[in-house]
This record gives sequence, C-alpha cells and structure tokens, in this order.
Amino acid sequence: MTLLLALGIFGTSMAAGLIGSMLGLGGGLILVPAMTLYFGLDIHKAAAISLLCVVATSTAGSAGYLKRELTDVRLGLFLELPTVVGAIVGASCANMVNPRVLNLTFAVLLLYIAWSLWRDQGRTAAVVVDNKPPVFTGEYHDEASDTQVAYGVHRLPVGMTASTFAGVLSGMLGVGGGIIKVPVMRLLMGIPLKVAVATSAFMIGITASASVMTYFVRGELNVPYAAVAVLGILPGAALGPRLVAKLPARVLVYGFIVLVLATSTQMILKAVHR
Amino acid sequence: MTVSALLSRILRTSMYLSMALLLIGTVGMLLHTPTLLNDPAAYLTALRAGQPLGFIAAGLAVLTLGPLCGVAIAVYGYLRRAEYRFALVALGVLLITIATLFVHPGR
Repeated sequence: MTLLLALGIFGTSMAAGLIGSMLGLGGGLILVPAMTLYFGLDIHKAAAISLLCVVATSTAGSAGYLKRELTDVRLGLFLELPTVVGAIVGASCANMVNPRVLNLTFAVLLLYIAWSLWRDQGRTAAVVVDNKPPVFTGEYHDEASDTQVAYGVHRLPVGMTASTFAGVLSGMLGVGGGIIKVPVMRLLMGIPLKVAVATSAFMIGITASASVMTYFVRGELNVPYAAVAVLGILPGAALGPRLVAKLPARVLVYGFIVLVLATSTQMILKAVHR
Repeated sequence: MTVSALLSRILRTSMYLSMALLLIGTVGMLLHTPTLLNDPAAYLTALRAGQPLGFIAAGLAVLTLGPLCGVAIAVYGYLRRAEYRFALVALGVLLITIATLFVHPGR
C-alpha cells in the first residue's frame, strides 16, 4: 500500500465517519462506492470493510452520544432484538426474491420516508403519534436550544414490527439499517430526531459486529485497507456527536432527507440497469 | 454509575485501544510492505512475532468486540438496578447476536 493510497482511504473514511455518526448511519453508503470506484476493491471486499466501518462509526459515535445521554439504551435494546432476527431471516432469504423488485421496493419506501420527513420537518422535538400513555419515558438536554426535552416511547409493538422489516431489508440488501431505523423511531414512535440518531448509532454497531467476525473468520477482510479505513472513521465519527449536540434538529432533518433521496436514486438506477 | 455512562466508558476504551494498536500496525505496514495473510489464525502468530499485521488484527478484534461487550455490560447494569425487563431484553440481544455468528451468511 502506498502512502498516497493510504491518505486517500483515510480522508474518505473520515468524511464517511463524520456524516454517518451525525445521521445515525454506518457510512457504508459513502464508503462502498468510493472503495470500489476509486480504490480498486471488488464489491464483496468493500462490503466487508464497510461493515467494519459501521462498527467503528457506531463505537466512536455512541461513546459520545452515551456520554451526552442522548442515546436511549432501553429503546435501542428493544428494537435491536427484532432487527437481528429480521437480519438473519433477510440474509437467509436473499436469493429467493428478485433483486430488481427488492431494489425498487426499497427505493419507493425511501421516497416515502423522505416525503414523511419533509412533511414533518417543522417539529424538531417529539412527534405526538397517539394519545395513549407512553411505554416508557426519557429526556435529554438539547445543547442547541439549552432546554431539557422530555419524550415518551409510544407504539413499541409497531416500532418492533417495523424494525423486523428493517432487519429483513438490511439482511437482504446488505445495507445498515440506520436509514430505516431513524425514520421509524421519529415518525412511528414519536422519538426526537437527536435521540433517534443516537439510538440508531448504538444499534447498528451491535448488528454489524457479528457480520464482521464472520467475514474475518472466512479470511474475506482486506486487513491493511480495513486498518486505514478504521483509523479515518474513528476520529471523524467521534466528532459527529459534538456537532449534532450543537446543530439545530432541522439541519439534521435536511441532511437525512438528502441522503435518503440519494440512496433511493442509487437503488432505482441499480434496478433499471440490472 | 448509569448504564449509559458504563457503556460509554467501555466503547471509549475499545476505541482508544484499537486506535493505538491500529496506528502501530499501520505505521509498520507503511514502512515494510507486509505479505497478506489469508488464514485468520496466522494473525495470532504475527502478533506474537510483533509483526504489523498482527497489531492490526488485534486492533480490529478489540473494535469488533466493543459493542458486544457493551451489551454484556448493559445486562449487568440493568440487573444491578433490578430492571429485569431491560436486562432480559439485553441478554436476548446478546444471545441472538452471538447466534448469528453461526447462521449469518455474512452479507
């Protein structure tokens, strides 16, 4: 590996880590295309590194979010349980579904999510999703507005069902579930966006860690590339929570919508050109 | 100490330790181009011999085990606080995640 190549991977990974941790994602949406297009890795090797980077983003991001008490660990654990089960089912059934149909379904779902987030953008704190008492409650300190924000976790069964679906899609498409988990928490369960992002960042690391071990044991992980990528991801992802705490929630919503639209376009193109 | 604070400490430790190991390994790798190892067991031998790829593999292992250790700590934390519902859920997550090692095709 040359120094120039190492610096290229380092810089790209740092940007992916920063953006990923700010939006509760793994950064794979940025890393996989970069690794395959610019750094000459085949898609399987890039996917393995991407999963490792999900763990790195999650670790560095979650450490910061947990310290600021933005992560709802109880909610994360409740939603992680069906997500992992869904991911196993999805990965096992991946070959049974036409990839074109799968990509188009995912793209339509993402477009719906983008529209829902756009419609909902005026509300920066909790969304009232029903009038029933919450399953459990939480609160956090919003540094941007210097206020204490209280919220309730509503419709937990609905959230768990949606998380199973997110897990299935994650297993089928090999994507991190963050892009679905954040809107599920925000739109279906009434969780403030910052808490949703922090909780998603915590969850994605757990799911990805098991998959990374599988790749490593099979000898399918390009260790030198992975090392440089992780060294870039960690400082980038550690910076994310500091920015999220200070940024208005609306800026995060716009960033998330742009990323959801970009992913949706990528999925449509993949389905059309297949 | 709250469960969040415990988890944050575990993840932070895992992050800094893996960064240190990866830095040692990467600098060594850039100075002397290593031979790629295809057998995971060979990385253990490389670590014992003080070779760069051994340090890198150790760093990646520490990083990967961090979230799972975090969930194990959450089980302990919730048990200590007598919040058995959350402890049970955390234990379920830990067991299912470990189980995926044996059934997950690794996509």
